[in-house]
Amino acid sequence: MIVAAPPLLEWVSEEQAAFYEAVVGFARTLPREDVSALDREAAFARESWRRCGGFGIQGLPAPEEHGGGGADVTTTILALEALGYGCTDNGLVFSINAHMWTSVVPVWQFGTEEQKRRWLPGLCSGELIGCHAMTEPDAGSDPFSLTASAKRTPEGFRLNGRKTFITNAPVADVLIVFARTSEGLGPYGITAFVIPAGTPGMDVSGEIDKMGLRTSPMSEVSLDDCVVPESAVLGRVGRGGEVFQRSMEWERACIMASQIGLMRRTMDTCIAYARERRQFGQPIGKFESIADKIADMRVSIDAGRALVLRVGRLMDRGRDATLESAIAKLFVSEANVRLHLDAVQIHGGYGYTREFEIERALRDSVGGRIYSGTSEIQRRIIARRLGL
Amino acid sequence: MDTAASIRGYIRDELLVADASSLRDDTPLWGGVLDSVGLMQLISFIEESFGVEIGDDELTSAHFGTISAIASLVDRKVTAS
Repeated sequence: MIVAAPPLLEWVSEEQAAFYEAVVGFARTLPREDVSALDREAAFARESWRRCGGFGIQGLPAPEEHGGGGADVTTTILALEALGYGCTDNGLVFSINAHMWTSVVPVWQFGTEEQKRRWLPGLCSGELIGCHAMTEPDAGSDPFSLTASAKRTPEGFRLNGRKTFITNAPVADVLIVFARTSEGLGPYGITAFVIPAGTPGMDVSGEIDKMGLRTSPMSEVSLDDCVVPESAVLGRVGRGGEVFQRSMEWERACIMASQIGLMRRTMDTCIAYARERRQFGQPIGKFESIADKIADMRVSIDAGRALVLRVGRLMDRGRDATLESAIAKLFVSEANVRLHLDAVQIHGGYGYTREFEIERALRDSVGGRIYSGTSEIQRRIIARRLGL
Repeated sequence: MDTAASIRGYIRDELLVADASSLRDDTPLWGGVLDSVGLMQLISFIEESFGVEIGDDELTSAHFGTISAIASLVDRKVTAS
């Protein structure tokens, strides 16, 4: 039940607001009761993934001719907030986001017609799962220092290298792998390749056991003389940095939308608990120390939503949103952790147990300060654009 | 507007370099004025505005180290096309 739904109509059209509620309604039909077990076992909900694809989530921004929904960025952002609000499997929502921004968007925006025809319908429908392999053991916050190599051969390219922290890799049907084809300046000299899972020489193993988002699978990817044809190149040779940057622009805006959905769900839970739980003869929500924390939650949600929707508006107008994405990512990810620490505090001893979702949501929130560029990197992007 | 002035204007106005008043045509760009994202935005602007395509082998500090080096490359490409 929506206890305190922040209004949407001051931000978006009636049609978009109605779509938001439709996505919330759909998300609530996904299995809720077994998410704690999935979290303990670090298991992936493939059937829920398929249902999200069937509803149209994964393909939302892609063109209709390739199986997508043809939605604008703002509508896509709203849908992902709604999914984050209605779906209690935060890891599944994270995996869907990763799939959309690191496989659907790059294939749609940089792929050849053949690549789009081959991959997009399945990536949009939920039949296929995608991911990208960029991060390396020694190339995290400085991704363009990657050392995986792709050497030209008569057959195409031969790839060698190691990738780590690759979300979705254990369940992926197709991987977009970044490797160095030349010693270019800064982000240049790196090329993106679309490689089907199971290609000889590409091994996906070493599943990573995480603190949070445990229902979103993650592993290492190794490339040992993995030979791919010229037709596997995504975009232009040496210009893979642009493919990666486009993914980051979408990801920083839209993953944070899902975090706002989670924050809103947790706030609702806190309000309900603060009304029901009685201490010293009255509901704990009557104590300012509790009510103030929940008031701050609402401020964070409204401010975060405004920042994320600003990115959507800019992207819909074809404007650069590098600065605004960094601001939104930094604000929402930090606010999300603060909100969940407060939520645990409001629930007291119960919040510290696994009986309530709050404990899992707190663990799930911490990763937001790290993935898609750490908070420190976002501050660096912002400072650079202030001339510092 | 000449090529160098156009590039300087883009860096100043779009990439939001606050100390752009001190930006000269021979100021080293990489590592100081431009970060990775800024460099990608600048190259995208150059390809779209001047109708040229920058080859993989041209994306080097020799060609993109300063505004005058970029302008020289762009002018050569425009003349050749």
